[in-house]
Amino acid sequence: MEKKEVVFRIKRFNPKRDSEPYYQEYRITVPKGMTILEALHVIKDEIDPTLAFRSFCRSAICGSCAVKVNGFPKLACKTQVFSELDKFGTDTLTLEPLDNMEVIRDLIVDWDKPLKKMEEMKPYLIPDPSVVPSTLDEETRVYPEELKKYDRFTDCILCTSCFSACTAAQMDEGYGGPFQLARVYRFAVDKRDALKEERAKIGYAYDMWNCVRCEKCADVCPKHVGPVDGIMRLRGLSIKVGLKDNPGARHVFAFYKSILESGLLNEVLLPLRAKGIKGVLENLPVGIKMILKGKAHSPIMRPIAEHENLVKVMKAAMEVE
Amino acid sequence: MLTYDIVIVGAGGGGLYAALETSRRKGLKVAVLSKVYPTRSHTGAAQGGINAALGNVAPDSPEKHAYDTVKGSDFLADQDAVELMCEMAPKIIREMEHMGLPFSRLPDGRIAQRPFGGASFPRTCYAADKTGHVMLQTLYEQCIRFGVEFLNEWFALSLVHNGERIAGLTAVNLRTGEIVGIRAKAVILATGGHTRIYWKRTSNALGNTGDGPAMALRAGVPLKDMEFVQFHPTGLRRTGILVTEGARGEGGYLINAEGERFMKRYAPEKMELAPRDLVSRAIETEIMEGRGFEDEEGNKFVYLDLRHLGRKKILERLPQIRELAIDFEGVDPIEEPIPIRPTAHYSMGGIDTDKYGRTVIKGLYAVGECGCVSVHGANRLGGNSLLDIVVFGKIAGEDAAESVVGLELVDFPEVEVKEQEERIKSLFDGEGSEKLSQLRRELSDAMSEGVGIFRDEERIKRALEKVREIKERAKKLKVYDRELTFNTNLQQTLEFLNMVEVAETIALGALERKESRGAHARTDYPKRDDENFLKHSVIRRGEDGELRLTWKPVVITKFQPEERKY
Amino acid sequence: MEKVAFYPGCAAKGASKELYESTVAVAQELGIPLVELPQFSCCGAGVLEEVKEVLDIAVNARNLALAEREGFKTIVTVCSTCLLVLRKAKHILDNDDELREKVNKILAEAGLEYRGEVEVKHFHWYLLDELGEDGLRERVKKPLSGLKVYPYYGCHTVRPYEVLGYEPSENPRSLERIVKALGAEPVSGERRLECCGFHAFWPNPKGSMVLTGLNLKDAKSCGADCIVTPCPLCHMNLDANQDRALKAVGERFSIPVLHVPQLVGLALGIEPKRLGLHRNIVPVNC
Ligand SMILES: Cc1cc2nc3c(=O)[nH]c(=O)nc-3n(C[C@H](O)[C@H](O)[C@H](O)COP(=O)(O)OP(=O)(O)OC[C@H]3O[C@@H](n4cnc5c(N)ncnc54)[C@H](O)[C@@H]3O)c2cc1C
Ligand code: SF4
Ligand code: SF4
Ligand code: FES
Repeated sequence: MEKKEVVFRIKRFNPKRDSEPYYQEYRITVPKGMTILEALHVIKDEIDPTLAFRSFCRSAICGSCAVKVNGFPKLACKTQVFSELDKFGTDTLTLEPLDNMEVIRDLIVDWDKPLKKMEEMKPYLIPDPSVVPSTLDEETRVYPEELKKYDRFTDCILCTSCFSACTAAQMDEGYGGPFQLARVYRFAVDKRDALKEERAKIGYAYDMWNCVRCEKCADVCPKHVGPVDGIMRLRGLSIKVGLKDNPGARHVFAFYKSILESGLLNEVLLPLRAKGIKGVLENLPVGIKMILKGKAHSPIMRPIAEHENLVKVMKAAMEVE
Repeated sequence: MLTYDIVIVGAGGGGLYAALETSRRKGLKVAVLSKVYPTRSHTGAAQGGINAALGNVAPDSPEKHAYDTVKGSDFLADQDAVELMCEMAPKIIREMEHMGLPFSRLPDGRIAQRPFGGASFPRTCYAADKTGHVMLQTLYEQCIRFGVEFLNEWFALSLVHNGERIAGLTAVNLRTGEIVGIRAKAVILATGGHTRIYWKRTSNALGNTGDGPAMALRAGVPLKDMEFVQFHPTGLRRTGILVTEGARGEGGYLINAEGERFMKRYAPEKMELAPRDLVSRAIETEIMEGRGFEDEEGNKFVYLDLRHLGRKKILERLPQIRELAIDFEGVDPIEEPIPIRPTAHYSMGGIDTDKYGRTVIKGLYAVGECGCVSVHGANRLGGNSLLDIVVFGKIAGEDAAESVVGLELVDFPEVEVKEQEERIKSLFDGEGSEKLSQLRRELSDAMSEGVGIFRDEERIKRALEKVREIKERAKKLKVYDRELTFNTNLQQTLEFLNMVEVAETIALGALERKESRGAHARTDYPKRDDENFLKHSVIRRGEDGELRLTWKPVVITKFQPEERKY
Repeated sequence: MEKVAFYPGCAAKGASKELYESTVAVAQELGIPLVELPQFSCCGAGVLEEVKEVLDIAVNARNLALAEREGFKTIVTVCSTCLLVLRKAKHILDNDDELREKVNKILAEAGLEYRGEVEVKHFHWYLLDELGEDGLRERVKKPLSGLKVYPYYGCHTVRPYEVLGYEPSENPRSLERIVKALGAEPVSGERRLECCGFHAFWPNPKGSMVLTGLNLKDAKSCGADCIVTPCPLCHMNLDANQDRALKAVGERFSIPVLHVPQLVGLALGIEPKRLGLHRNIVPVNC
């Protein structure tokens, strides 16, 4: 069987004792098929019992074991050592605690910050008495296509990988966070919920428009939740419930209008449409430079060929359930 | 010292349901204490589903559910408790549905149900193959909604009582390393299963180490039917990670090396959907008789073949199974059969309780897998544990909430905390001539060999001796990590010590039960013996530290024992 | 070479003309039969998903279906966001039969059908797939020897892997391979996979500028002579907004930022004018 000597370079830190984090290297023989979590246990059992990390289900469902492997959040139990070695063309793997949270010890981080955020954002169904039966003799009728709207967002195991990687969360303390906002969306489209689309206002209050759509949350999620998709749709709902007077919402309208008019995006009109005259002024210096360099097109755009069938498609799409 | 009205130890389905129930009663101070964050609990790993006679797919009734359960239990279940559970099942399913649980649905919008082993009808409600996950998430969400207080990453060490009433417990806050006494008028244990004892081959989480039963044992509280350990037929070849029974429920085949659907020789009618004990024995027999496969590492296995279900059905109903097979076996079930072998899965036995979850100590309850009501008897049916945990979690929560009103706290001697500090200190100062990983392996081997799927007097005795030897040797273990902050080395050592204590009771029960019943298959007593053994084994530790086994009658109401055929 | 449908995207047709020009020039030079379909619409940049999910998918299914109708097997785009949005629509349509049926009903109104036969690739993937590094190297007339290039991926050619899938999202090498084939030296910075913040520019200009500023800083500190990016939107932030971005992180310097086809074009010996290099805001001296 194939085996390899692998060096695990592990970031260690006990804030109660160490002034600085440091890296410690462990060399072990890894057979093909071994997961990073299994390797961590070999290190703990055979070399260094003081190494601290979390693990529980070891089958990718409890969300305990997320760590950074060569810089990227992964469930240690779901990730094979060999596949990571191949990916990075190396025989050293660096393991570090997740970002964006305080380190408690070694690879263990404090989940309370992201979870507290989630708790504040009403992550639970509040039954709508007009939909959910009042007796336990009946179940709510939920059709498969209604379930489909939120089904995948219920797959989240709260591993916090996405929160660790999230660009917006790193920049903005007030940002709700990917899995948290996705959960808001999950309830917003559950017909059994009393708040329903009004929940989009929670997303708004938690800066959902600050999501930069870097897709990191979708990329790192071990359960294929794709939080960013939920966030985009939650934005849509916020417009629907009347949160229209903000740059994000206006940007959406500008886009939509522009595509409907010509089939293309009118970049020249975007600042005006998204932010009004303020937008134009803010972007004036850059705008002038661009005009001077011949980068600006005419504000009046010629529609694409077969524009009429685009309009048909867009109208039909807006009408279907 | 902390003080609560009620402390719930464990935040799986059992613990959370109890918590929700207590939160309905205003003014009670309740905490849920758990060694992992609630949603990490092993309830989340349950895949296949939860049983209730909703009759959404085929006409069904709680009574039929009860009969199947009793028959599945090989008539060892207490029938009054089974009836209660099956009666409550449809209501509690709907209650969770009303909390937002995203069950899979039928085209007409009702909750979908799938066939499961040992059931006469498609009775298992599910959410694809992640039922436990969404259940746990939903219950947790509702706990947030109702402001339940959590003590996350606290490890319970011991129970404190005055011989009659519970006084509270001691626990270590893993984050700070502090050992704390917690006073409470009621304590509900919901610490889950213990099949991690079979360390090398189990479907269980690393922390399913029987802490609850071990604490109970140390506190003189009896355990019941400990010899019954369920081996699930379909664990992945290398790791023992579970492939849900739902895979067979959806129509999966079991195939041996001769390409044969061998279940036809063991359960011609039910085939792959016979109960677990039977299917596991069938697979092991195939392997023993040379009709299994063997890989280059020496792992023996048979195949679970899903290919004929087709891509769409697999992606829709068994997406997680597909991913587990890909990640952990490198096999895509859409294209290849999955190599499987039975894996230690579930503990039918546990802390002895009545049908309200009450133990012999007033105010001390046990619910879920750590307890034994008993509704599963000698063999649990798939889909009945998720039901058990919520039903009895609810009942115990309700009972506890009612019972603490107007009650005074029982005296909690400070020395209890001191004792735990001493105990932990002695582990730091251990001799260190024994090694944890080594002992754990030896325990696992001894248990698999002696009290595994097939058992006999000699093998059980050997196992029992070995466990006792390990218990002695474990005194020389040492905790090398001396930090207070998140000392996982200490935790794993404490968990191991708990497993050893519980292992002894499994072997002892197995030795004394001289018959074959359900999951307890003795080759030297191949028949069920209702005359002598239609009774529960009860083990308690005496003052002298020795285990004592006694027997307790089974409650029979409607269903007289009969031969179990599938 | 088989003809491919060229999907330039709105940026290349608008404010990033130089990207359009350089792509066309490089394709000509290499003999790649790019055919631009006049019927292609804006992909919506994901913003349409914020209006309604099916709208986004239907609009892009239309684009895909048009290419199929015209007999193309491959769509090539030069915009990372277009790439992601088109591929994502395709990914969803190919994996969700019910939605596909629904969307095809919508398309039927326009006399179109999505059959799932067309592939969507980024221009630089296409170069690597069709010519390979060696093939590209052979065509180089003016090797970019000594030039240190910072390959800046940004987000939408690599993430999410499930949808893009061309190379591991944690360690993509495609740009490095191209840079090397051109005779230049790729320098590796830790922010090559970070976001430029473009998509939050309207609601959060400051945050957006900080991200871009940090990326620029990283490139500088790696000793890069220039940055190359596969995305006109990243380019907009890195190049047109460079002053503002650097100010946001308290820096002052300037570093040229090239589109992939501009860099390729230079090595192929195409004159700078045809590559639109004069349009870059930060002057490119070559
Ligand atoms: C892989 C798998 C699949 C399964 N599938 C199904 C299925 O489809 N249907 C079905 O009915 N059953 C299924 N089961 C069985 C069922 O899931 C479990 O029996 C059930 O979930 C147990 O729930 P619980 O609440 O008793 O305990 P758990 O969910 O295990 O929770 C135990 C809790 O106790 C806490 N705890 C333990 N020890 C301590 C301590 N010392 N201090 C503090 N806290 C402690 C833990 O932190 C945890 O929160 C499955 C089991 C497994 C392993
Ligand atoms: S896409 Fe948005 S939510 Fe997801 S990681 Fe990026 S910034 Fe965060
Ligand atoms: S969305 Fe995915 S990555 Fe984020 S916490 Fe949930 S499971 Fe983890
Ligand atoms: S250990 Fe549970 S997700 Fe990895």
